[in-house]
Amino acid sequence: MRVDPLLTERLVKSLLWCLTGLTIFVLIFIITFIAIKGLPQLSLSFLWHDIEDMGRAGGIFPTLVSTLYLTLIALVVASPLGVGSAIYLTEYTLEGWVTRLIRFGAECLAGVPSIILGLFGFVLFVIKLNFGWSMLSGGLSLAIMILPTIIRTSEEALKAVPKEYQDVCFSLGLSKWQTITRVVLPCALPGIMTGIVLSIGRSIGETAVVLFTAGASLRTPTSLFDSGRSMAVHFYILAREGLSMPNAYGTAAILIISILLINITAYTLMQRFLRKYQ
Amino acid sequence: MLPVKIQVRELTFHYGSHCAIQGLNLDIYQGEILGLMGPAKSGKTTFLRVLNRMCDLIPNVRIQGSVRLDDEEILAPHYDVDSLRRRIGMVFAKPVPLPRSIYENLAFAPRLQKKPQHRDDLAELVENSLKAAQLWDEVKDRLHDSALKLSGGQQQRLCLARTLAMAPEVILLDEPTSGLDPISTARIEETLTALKKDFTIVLVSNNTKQIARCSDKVAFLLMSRLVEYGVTPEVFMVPKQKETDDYISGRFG
Ligand SMILES: Nc1ncnc2c1ncn2[C@@H]1O[C@H](COP(=O)(O)OP(=O)(O)OP(=O)(O)O)[C@@H](O)[C@H]1O
Ligand SMILES: [Mg+2]
Repeated sequence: MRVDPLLTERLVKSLLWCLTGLTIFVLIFIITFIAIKGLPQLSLSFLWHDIEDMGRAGGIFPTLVSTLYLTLIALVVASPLGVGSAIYLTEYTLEGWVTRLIRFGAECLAGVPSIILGLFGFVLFVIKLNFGWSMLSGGLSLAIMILPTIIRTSEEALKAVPKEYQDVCFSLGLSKWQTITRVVLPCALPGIMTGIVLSIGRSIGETAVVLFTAGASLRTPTSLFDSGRSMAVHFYILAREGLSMPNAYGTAAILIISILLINITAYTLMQRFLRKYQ
Repeated sequence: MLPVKIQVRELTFHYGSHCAIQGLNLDIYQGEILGLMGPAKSGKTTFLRVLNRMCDLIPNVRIQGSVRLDDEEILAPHYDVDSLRRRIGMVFAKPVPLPRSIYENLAFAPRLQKKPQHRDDLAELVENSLKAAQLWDEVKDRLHDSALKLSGGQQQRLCLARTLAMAPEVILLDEPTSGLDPISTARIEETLTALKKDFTIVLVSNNTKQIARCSDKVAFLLMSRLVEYGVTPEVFMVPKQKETDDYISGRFG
């Protein structure tokens, strides 16, 4: 039996439309759910006040600071390492067993469940290196978690830069390093930034890793060696222990809003940068 | 007799086990245009890439023989290739403007070299190079627009101007007009003829008529060997080798 190609076309199109619609529906559902439950809790005092009565009352200021601290440490450590490795892999080595081994390693690292990374961070940073439950331990563990993403996305971005650009630069007498910093990196920056922004999102939302390594102290961390709980951990504890569902949803709303804001800012900055370079 | 700028002796080049140039001997004279012609895969691009050591970027290649620039061996292992490439500029077959403004395309390499110390000098260098490549009149009002918006012919002249801005001694051109219309081609040819008093030029072209029009000397490569070399009108009028005759009159290639 012959199938009418026009009919198949229509069927496939509506099927794909349904699948896309379903994805978007789930996304919208989650966001509205959190918004309905969480937004009424929000107020300036919720943002600026300390946690009181284990989270049943007061605000979430300490968790904001902790989240910021952890994410910044993770970024400051993982971005140079990740982008540096990607540059090394794409520009300074030939494709061979060494690069394949490194890439395989990074892929394995990406596949490690976060609870195990948390345990690893606990053993290495908290116990062995004696950093204790602290921002430093948490940030370093998060750095390990996001490193593979940053390497992978940076590598793809670097590889996408036309080889001809490098030929041109070399033919103009630029050294390899000049070529990389002046031409290759600016071209690859949008892709690299995408990876970094994704990683920020993951760090902000990560629970298991941070719970094991940064602890869950209610105080506002003031130094690298202070313990503290991130927003995600706070949400987890509030919800799990049934301390206060409204405050849990309030925290979740802030979490989602911050990730949205970061994405929007990064996107705008990127657009501006692209306009300057083209 | 003009002085020899580049002297090539017994040059043999391998990609892995594939031989792309075999036992090449050739003199390139200062202030002349050497036209290099030959059918596809005869090793023309490879030869240019040896002259400015761009071949170093390809893995698994083997070079034997000697290439001397102003009587200095450039194939020596620790030769400073970055400065060599500033002395021997190259324009590729496909024009590749960098994703920046027209001005930046020309200015960024000299600026890194700190050649013109002052901003005004740099602007003057850009202007002069664009004028030399006969592009100035077309772009002088939009120097800060993206170079990617230029037409193919303009892009190729931009690439030529970019090479000129480095003030090289030798310019290598690899089929610079292969993708261009006759008018753009004519403009580039005019430009080359005007440039040869200041530069030594090696022009690779598939177009034998172009070689006949522009070059002072001509070399014919066939299957990685140099078959014929001589003064242009002589080679085109009375070729010594039968293969050259066949190629020029379009019987193969
Ligand atoms: N990067 C490379 N790796 C391996 N072999 C190569 C490479 N570049 C060229 N070759 C081979 O070397 C030989 C000469 O190539 P080359 O590019 O020098 O020819 P050409 O004369 O410039 O040809 P065309 O007119 O098509 O541009 C060809 O057989 C080609 O397959
Ligand atoms: Mg070629």
